[in-house]
Amino acid sequence: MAGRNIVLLALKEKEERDKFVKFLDGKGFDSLSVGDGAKAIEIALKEAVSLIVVDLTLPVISGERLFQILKNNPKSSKIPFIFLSDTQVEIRGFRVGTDVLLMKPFKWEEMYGHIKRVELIKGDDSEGGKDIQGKLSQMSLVDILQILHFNKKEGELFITSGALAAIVYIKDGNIYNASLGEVEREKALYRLLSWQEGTFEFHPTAVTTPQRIQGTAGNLLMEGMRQLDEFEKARDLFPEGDSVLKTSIDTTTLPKGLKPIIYEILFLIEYYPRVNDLVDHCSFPDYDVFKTLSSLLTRRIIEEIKSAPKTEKVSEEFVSPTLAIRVKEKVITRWADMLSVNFGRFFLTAANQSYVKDFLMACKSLPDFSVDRKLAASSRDVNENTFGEVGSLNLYGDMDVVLFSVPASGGMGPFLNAFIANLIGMAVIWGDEDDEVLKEFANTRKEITSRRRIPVLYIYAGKAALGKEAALKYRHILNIKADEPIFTLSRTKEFAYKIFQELFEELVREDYISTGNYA
Amino acid sequence: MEQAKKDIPEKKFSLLDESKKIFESRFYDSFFVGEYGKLEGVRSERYGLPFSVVILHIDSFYGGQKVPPKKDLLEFLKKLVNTVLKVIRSCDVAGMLEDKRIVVILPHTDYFGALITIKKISKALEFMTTQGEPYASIVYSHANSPKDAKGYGELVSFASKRISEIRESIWERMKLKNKYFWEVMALITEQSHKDFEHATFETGSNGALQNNFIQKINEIIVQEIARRPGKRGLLYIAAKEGISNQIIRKYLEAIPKTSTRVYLVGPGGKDSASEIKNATTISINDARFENNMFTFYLNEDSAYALICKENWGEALTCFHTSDPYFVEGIITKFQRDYSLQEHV
Repeated sequence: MAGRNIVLLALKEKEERDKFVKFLDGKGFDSLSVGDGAKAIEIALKEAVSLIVVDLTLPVISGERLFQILKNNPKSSKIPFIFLSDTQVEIRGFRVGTDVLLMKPFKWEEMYGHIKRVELIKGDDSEGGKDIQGKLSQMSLVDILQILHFNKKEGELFITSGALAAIVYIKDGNIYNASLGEVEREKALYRLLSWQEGTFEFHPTAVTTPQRIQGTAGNLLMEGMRQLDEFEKARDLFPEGDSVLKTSIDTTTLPKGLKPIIYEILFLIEYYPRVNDLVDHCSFPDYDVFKTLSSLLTRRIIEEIKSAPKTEKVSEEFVSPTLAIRVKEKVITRWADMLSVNFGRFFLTAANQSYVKDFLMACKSLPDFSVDRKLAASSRDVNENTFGEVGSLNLYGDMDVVLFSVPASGGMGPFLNAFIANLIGMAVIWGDEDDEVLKEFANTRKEITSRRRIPVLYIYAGKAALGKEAALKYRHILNIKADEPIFTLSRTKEFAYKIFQELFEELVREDYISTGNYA
Repeated sequence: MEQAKKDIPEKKFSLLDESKKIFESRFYDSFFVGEYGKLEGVRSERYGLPFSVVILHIDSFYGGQKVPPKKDLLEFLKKLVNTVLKVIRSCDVAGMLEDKRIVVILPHTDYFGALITIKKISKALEFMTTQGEPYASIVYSHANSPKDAKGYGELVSFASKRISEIRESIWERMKLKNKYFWEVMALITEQSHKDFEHATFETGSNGALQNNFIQKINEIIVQEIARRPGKRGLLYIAAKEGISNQIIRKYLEAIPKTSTRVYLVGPGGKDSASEIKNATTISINDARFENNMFTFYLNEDSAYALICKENWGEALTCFHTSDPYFVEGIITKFQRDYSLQEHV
């Protein structure tokens, strides 16, 4: 992880980039070069970049904007910048002593001096930057966490094992959070405790991540080890990871007062029938999930379909990093406190709650999509309560698109209006027998778009394909323009792809999400 | 009323052009405040700091029925300006914006800071404007940079636009300003509203919605707070379960830390003394909380008020609004009538 000092060159002109690469190569530096701001962000967040040389007039995302974005990202906040400019300019947030502004034409010796200085600072930093490092085979994670706890340390503990990488955030010796891929909190921490092989590095740094794990380190580790032991003992009683499950009861008839994990599991089974997927998406620790699954199987509340084929995890690129960053830019630039905004809301206005369910079924095939767990945990009747957050899609650049289901019954305008500030789009879903609510939908759409200009997607959920005559009728009632498509609701991956591609492409176009009266 | 407003001769106010002679030296003419405001705008943008303007608009006298004599008008304005100058901070700059309008420039002040200034000014001017009976009507407006607009000129335009919005708001239209908290609660649920910003709905046996819909709304608001923990805001929840509202407690306790002040209101019980993470309990033993519920949520991006009254068979008649002036107003009423700490 450490060791390589990569200089990222974000320069507009290719000729200039080539000259730079040659120069740095001659001085023994590794470098990566890009021609626009979006690519620069992508590389800065992916690679271990120690310095960024940036042209202020960079295309796509300007040099100054690039600086603001990376400075505000915890992964890249410490990277020094060397700005190149034709004129004397003021750069917002410029860190005296860290960043440098050089006027063109500059002298190569001067440039080398600055790069060397940065390398020295980096060197100093890395001396104290890693307090502890080693192999898990020599020191277990429990021991490391205990040492950090007793010494009241603050920083990030990076753990790698094969292709897997995890971070444990520690503040005042307490475990604040743990993240392993998409999994977080205790669930991630307890999984990490089972790692026997791998390496660890502790980087003392200010931890800004919110505290997501409660309890003392001692109690957490004790509980984690207990779960691990219990899991090993009961492994044979648990269903196979590739087994497919289904519920054998009507989940709407569940009694009150069951453990929240039961409601959550029964809710998630419909979306993630494969045991491993279900365990990954359930908010409870793995052992608790397996134990509950085993108990539900014994009581025949759920069934196991052993011969089901293994489902493949979608790995293809759904939204390109460039598009994701442009979407994020579009959303966050409206706020003064950009750091606090990492999500945009997408209203699902459906005439029938089953349409929301179908929509979610389609979305579950999207990479990094999660069905809202709190919805399952808080609702006794999993079919009834789809008001509020129903799922979220995490985009590259750590931005969530939160799907927010809105009740079809009238009079909800004030509630929607109160949460319109970070709205990025809405979908209107209706079927053959919903003519009565269409006018209400049209009014809601009109009111919302008069306050915030957002893309609106129209989705028809009828039994048969939408005929020409019916399409004309709906276009008339809902006031859909001729160039706006009407999609047909389906539970397929292709449908979800089409919907979100359309949303994001529309969103980055022109001045969407701007405020003002567009009625 | 419109006629009465037109009757106010504009030239009477032009006496303010001699403001330097009449008022304290800290009260400036429109040219100076304009120039100072521009500088403050540039400074705010350069250092990425918020700044706000507050406008006091002298709307009418005697409910628009008549105009006081010139001498009284001048005396009123002198008192008004001197009171404003006493209330604002030494770094704030006040001056004439135009006839009938006074502007206060508030450096390094965000949305809530501007609201607090308005509250301080309106409180200080309360007796002067009522004098035992409705005397002068003043509309207070504000705009905040960078949220509403950037630069002094844009901020003033935004705040001026807001003055007409305030006049149109349900709070002003229903003349709720001079009512007590529970009077407002009763009045607002009596009428039927069908706008996008104000609406009534029924839950329970008569309505299409279940009673737990109210609980769901509260959960969503708490989720919203959790999504943006650094955002300053204010939330009051008086639900049927009162302070013992376990679901809300659970959600609040799941938030690591929040800048939103959350208050759970209701009759004190065995839980009233127990601490709730991220919330303060307000124990009020008032029988009216048994069949009335409310949720007031306010931050610079969202304003929402939900007021429900229990009817026969546990059915609820609810009014809700996203009108920020109503939400600000009702929160102020609630704080005052129950002598609570005034945050807005």
